[in-house]
Amino acid sequence: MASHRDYSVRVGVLRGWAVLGVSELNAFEVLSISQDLAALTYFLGTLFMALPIPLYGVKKWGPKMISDGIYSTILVNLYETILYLVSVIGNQLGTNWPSYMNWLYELLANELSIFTVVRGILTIIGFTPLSVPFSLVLTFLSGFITITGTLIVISQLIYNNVGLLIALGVLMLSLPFRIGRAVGGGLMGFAIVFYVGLPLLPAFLSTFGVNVIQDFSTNINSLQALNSLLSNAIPDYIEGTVIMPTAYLGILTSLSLGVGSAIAGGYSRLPIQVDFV
Amino acid sequence: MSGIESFVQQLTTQVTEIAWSIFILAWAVGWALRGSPIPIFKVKRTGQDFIEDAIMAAFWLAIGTTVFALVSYVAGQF
Repeated sequence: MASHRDYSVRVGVLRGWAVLGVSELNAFEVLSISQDLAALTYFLGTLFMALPIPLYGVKKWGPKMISDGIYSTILVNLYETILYLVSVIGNQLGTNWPSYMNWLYELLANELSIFTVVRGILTIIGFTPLSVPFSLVLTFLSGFITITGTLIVISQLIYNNVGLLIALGVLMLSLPFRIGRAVGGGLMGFAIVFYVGLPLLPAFLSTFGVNVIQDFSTNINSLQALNSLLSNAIPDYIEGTVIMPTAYLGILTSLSLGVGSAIAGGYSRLPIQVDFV
Repeated sequence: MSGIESFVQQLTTQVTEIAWSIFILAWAVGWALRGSPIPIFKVKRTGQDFIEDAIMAAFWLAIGTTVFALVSYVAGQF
């Protein structure tokens, strides 16, 4: 009986999360709450300013919170302008999201086709001493596919929810006592910089002469053809799907922190843990 | 969402009411200290500070109430 109840609770929780999922949130509802929180911050500021207590530590929050409330209100009302500016900057830099998403899926398809070839060869030769290098190659390819998949997920998240991420950043900035100031600035910086910069990844790679979309021939009819395929594909994928994208994401993260600091008026903290920087 | 929104709005209204009450209290306390027959300058100066802060707070409260009401009205028109 207990397990049945647990299951029901779990399903309920899962449904709850589905309702509160990112795609179900409306940016304008978030902005509406942000506006109310900005007003709350402002009036709390006036309350602290009026307090008849000769304690500077308490009273200094008055002017701070009044200016925070005004700043948050300005950000809430500039939401559409910020989105427009992001789109204009993206257009000026040559950002093209559909083309970038096609590039990612093409890259994934190429990786999967090579994976299929190597996997097929491994199945044919079975567990012999010759299979060891092929297993190693398969491990490498699995890693590349995972990285590309992760890039696709991050890209889809940013492409579909840039407005919501900015609205959530404004919401964090609107919280009283500067609770979410660093995270709010970071969230806005992250959304703005990644929306503009992420689709420029293929251009960044081609600047360094890295082409991971080249058509590796998977028509294997000799050991030499297989050797040629792997000796071309693996180094290119290491460079083009691991090293260079990591460096590029590091650059974008640094820029996000900078933009976040500029928005938050101090230091900013990114909403995701970035370990590779 | 509307639950959170109405909660925050209610909280803001209460905070505004308390802020106006504190303004009156600070004003009264400030004048009481300033006008008190105590020959200590620091106490009188504190009273003066309370009055100044209370006036500034009342000014920002009045401006804020007007501006936020205006913003809500304009936003509600779209």
